[in-house]
Amino acid sequence: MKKEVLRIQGIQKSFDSQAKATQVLKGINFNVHEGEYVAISGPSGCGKSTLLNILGLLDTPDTGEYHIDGSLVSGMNGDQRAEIRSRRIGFVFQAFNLLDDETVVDNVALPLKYRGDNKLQRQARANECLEMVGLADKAGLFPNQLSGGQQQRVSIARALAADSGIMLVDEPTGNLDSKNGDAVMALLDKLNKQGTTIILVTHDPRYAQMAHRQIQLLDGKVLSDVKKGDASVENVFKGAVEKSEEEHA
Amino acid sequence: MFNSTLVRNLLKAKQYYATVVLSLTLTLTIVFVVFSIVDTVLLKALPYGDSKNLYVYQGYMLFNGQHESGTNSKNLLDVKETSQGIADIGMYFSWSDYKLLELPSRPDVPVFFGSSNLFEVLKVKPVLGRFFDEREQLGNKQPSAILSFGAWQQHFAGDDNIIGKSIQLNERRFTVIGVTSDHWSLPDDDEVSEGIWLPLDMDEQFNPIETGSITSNVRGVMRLADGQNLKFVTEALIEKMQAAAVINMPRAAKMYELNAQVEPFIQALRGDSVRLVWMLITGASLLTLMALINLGNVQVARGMSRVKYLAVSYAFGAKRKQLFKESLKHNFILLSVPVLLALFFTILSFELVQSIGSNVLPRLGSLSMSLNIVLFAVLMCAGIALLFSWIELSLVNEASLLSSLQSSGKGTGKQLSRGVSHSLIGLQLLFSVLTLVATSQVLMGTLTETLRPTHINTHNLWSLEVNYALIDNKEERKNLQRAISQHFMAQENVKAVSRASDTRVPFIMNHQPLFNEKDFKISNVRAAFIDDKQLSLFDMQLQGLAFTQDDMLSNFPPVIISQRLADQFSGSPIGKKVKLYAIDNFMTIVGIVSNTDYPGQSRYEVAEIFIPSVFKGGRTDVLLMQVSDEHEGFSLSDVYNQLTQIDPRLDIARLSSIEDDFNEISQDQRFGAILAGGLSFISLLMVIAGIAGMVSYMVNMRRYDLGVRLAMGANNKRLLRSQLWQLAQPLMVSFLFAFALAYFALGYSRTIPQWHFAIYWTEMFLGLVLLSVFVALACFMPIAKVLRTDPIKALRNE
Repeated sequence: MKKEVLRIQGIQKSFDSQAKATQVLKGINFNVHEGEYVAISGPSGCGKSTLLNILGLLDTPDTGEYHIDGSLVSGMNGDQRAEIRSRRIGFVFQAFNLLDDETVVDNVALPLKYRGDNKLQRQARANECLEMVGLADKAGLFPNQLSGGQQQRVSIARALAADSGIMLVDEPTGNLDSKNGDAVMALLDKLNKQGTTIILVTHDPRYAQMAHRQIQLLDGKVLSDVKKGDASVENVFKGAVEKSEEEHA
Repeated sequence: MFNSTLVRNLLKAKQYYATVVLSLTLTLTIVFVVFSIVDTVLLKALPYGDSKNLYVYQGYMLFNGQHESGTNSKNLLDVKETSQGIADIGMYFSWSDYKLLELPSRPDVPVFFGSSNLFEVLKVKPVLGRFFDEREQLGNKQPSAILSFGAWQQHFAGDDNIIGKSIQLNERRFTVIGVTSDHWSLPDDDEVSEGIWLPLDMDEQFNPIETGSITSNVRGVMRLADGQNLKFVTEALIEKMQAAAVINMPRAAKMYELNAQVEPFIQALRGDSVRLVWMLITGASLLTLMALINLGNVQVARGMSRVKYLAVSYAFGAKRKQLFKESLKHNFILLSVPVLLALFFTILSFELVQSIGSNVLPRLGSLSMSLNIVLFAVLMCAGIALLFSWIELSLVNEASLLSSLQSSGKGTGKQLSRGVSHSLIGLQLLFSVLTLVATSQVLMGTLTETLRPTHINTHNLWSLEVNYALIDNKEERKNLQRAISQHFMAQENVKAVSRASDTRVPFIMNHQPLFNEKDFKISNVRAAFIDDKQLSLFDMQLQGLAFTQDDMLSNFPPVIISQRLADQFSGSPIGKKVKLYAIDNFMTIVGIVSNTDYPGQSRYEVAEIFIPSVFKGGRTDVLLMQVSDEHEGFSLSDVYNQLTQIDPRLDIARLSSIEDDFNEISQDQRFGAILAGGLSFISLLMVIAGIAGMVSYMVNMRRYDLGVRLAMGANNKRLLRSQLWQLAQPLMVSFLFAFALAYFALGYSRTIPQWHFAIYWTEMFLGLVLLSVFVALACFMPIAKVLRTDPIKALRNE
């Protein structure tokens, strides 16, 4: 049995909007083991991104517990969370979020800067990561000199840079055409095979199926949590999702 | 790679960097110059020992409702002998320059006469040699000279062997016995740092023991005895001065209300300049406030554009402290550019400040870049960098960071809301309008005073005051005066020569009371002894009779009075008899001449009486010369040579054009006008830079939005119109609000009697129109530039 890296229990989160509180997450429980490839999917507004923000320590839950590597991280202050983010978590965003005014290599090296690595170490590691995503020759360019697919690969290299082991990926193909989307997903698959734990948020069932495990959210709750190959369960939940979507419609 | 990133960053945010560097360079230059002036005038220690216990003691008389300094040396000597409660009292005076004939250029050097104990009272030590002691006591007429540090450097190249050497000042030789330290200052006299000190009894004309007249230049410098109270000592000194005046100058004591004043040396030195310094501080503060609002706005815009960077850094583990440190480092490096530029411009401006302000502010001779200014600059740099970083970081919270990270489209990241950015622009404009209204009033007030007509002809007129002091025989002086007049009259391009007892611009005011036939005092008047050509050369309009040649020789001459004096008579003064305090004979008024106005010195605008006179053989005599347009003007050395060829004992007391004389007396007003003009110009520049920077940011941030609109078929003109209209609304509101505030402030200030001043509506409106035009351009240019870009590029946010 591989080591448990993430565990969330009873996570709830509400947002105040126009004097009315909207509960986005209504008690989420699951855990993730080292090397797992988990896809979180669900319809728009089901709470996928909010959950990913909480998993990435960018946001805090209202209630519930969140453990990383067995340590309780919910309730930590901003600096403690930043420390864990810099060492344990890498992000890949739908909009890439590369810094336009920094070169590709500097973008990739960014997480290392806040970890305290010196410039030489940062450059070396950033080049290594760019090599891993096949963009070593683009190190000196600026992001807007790259295609969308290349930009997303740079953003994956950046998530790899801190060697954090956990990669949170938010709709990585949302801004890409299918060819580039496929290439990015293939890269994520490859990284997972090399040992990176990946939690992927996507609404594309084709890409969700590439994960070893799919967590389906609906209305702020886990509708299903299915491992690859468990077909019977998969079909049961597939039916439930379709039924729910019809009700919403 | 570093450089390309740096250049890219600079180019991308060029409006931001340009606004910051331009605004701060301008503002900090002004702030550093003002701080240097404050440091020099108010803070820098005096070069005298224990200067807190140093006081200036001087006599005053009430003249024309104003206190004018004036006593005489005998009074001070008597007070010194009889006063108790004073540790010691020294004395000095200065009233003319001497020629340093030692040097081929024969420079004029200001000469100061000091009592033998003066330097001991000042508690100063010489740089070289010694100061006066018992050998230079009053009555010894010891030909010793002490060089100021400036004179030593300027005229003797800092010669270390100067002590014991003989120098020639005018016609006498003096032995240099010492050199003072640098940057000396005396109340109302900054020239001391470049002057030469002689013993009190070594002036050519003025005998401090015998004089009975009032002089304004004699001052005492004293220290209180231990345990003495300044108030009681002052009261005693005033009594003693009044008692001494009754004995030593009985006629003056009867005519004027005499008084004395003891004030701390530093206070006397600062004089009225404190008010001017406060005006400068207010102006600089106003400008700094404007700049900070300006830069605060730009920084808010900059901060909003950096949210994405902060958000990404935050997502990858940056702590708030790390981000703050990073931002602080960037801002400190950025701000060091305008700070260094401002320091450079400050040093460059010192000479300008000294040339335009040395007669207005004391101690400007010692204006220099000091450690205090450098420290102040570093503090300003650090302070503004901290403020910038605080603004940048205070704009972001977790919610805005998350929102920025999750924005999926280009150009739709977090932006400063239109309402906020418009409010900030409005605030800038509001402040600018207020500054412009205030500075336009000061500018117009000072300019109007400076440009006020004199009502006399000053064109092509030169005034030459000749010093005959070395010629003891009065008849000889008379003959020489006549000969000199004829000498200049015979020159080519000299059209007319006239003589008078005094220069037209009253650098020396010969005031005395005027009595009527019943011996009642009519007024204090300025008496001028002139020949028959003087009034016509000045084009003064005359009613009644002009002087004739016979009048000038008469023992009972007729007189002409100015309109100001005529106004004090009930009915026409023509034909009435009057008597001057100094002349026992009654004189008949035969004419009235138009008044002379003195722009910048309205206190000179007093009642005048003109008495006909030929050459009287006085120790000084003034020639007024009218030259033709072809005349190149007189040079000091050339005229000096001409005079000494006539008689080597002659000297020039003053040579200047009448236009220069009038310019000199209005220099305070011109200084004020330059300050107000500079302030309004810089505030105008800053508001343009600020608004252009802000609008530029706004439209750049909305390029995507504008791109969408262009792609949807909007045309450039329409978009330009709509963007300008959106900006015009807050600008108009600010403009009206600021104008209402200014109107209220002006109205209120006019209810305060001592603040009563003219309001220059037309000029103020013109200034505001100019501001509006510049603001419109500052809005139009960046919008037009962005709208010229390809909509496809705008959509891609390239």
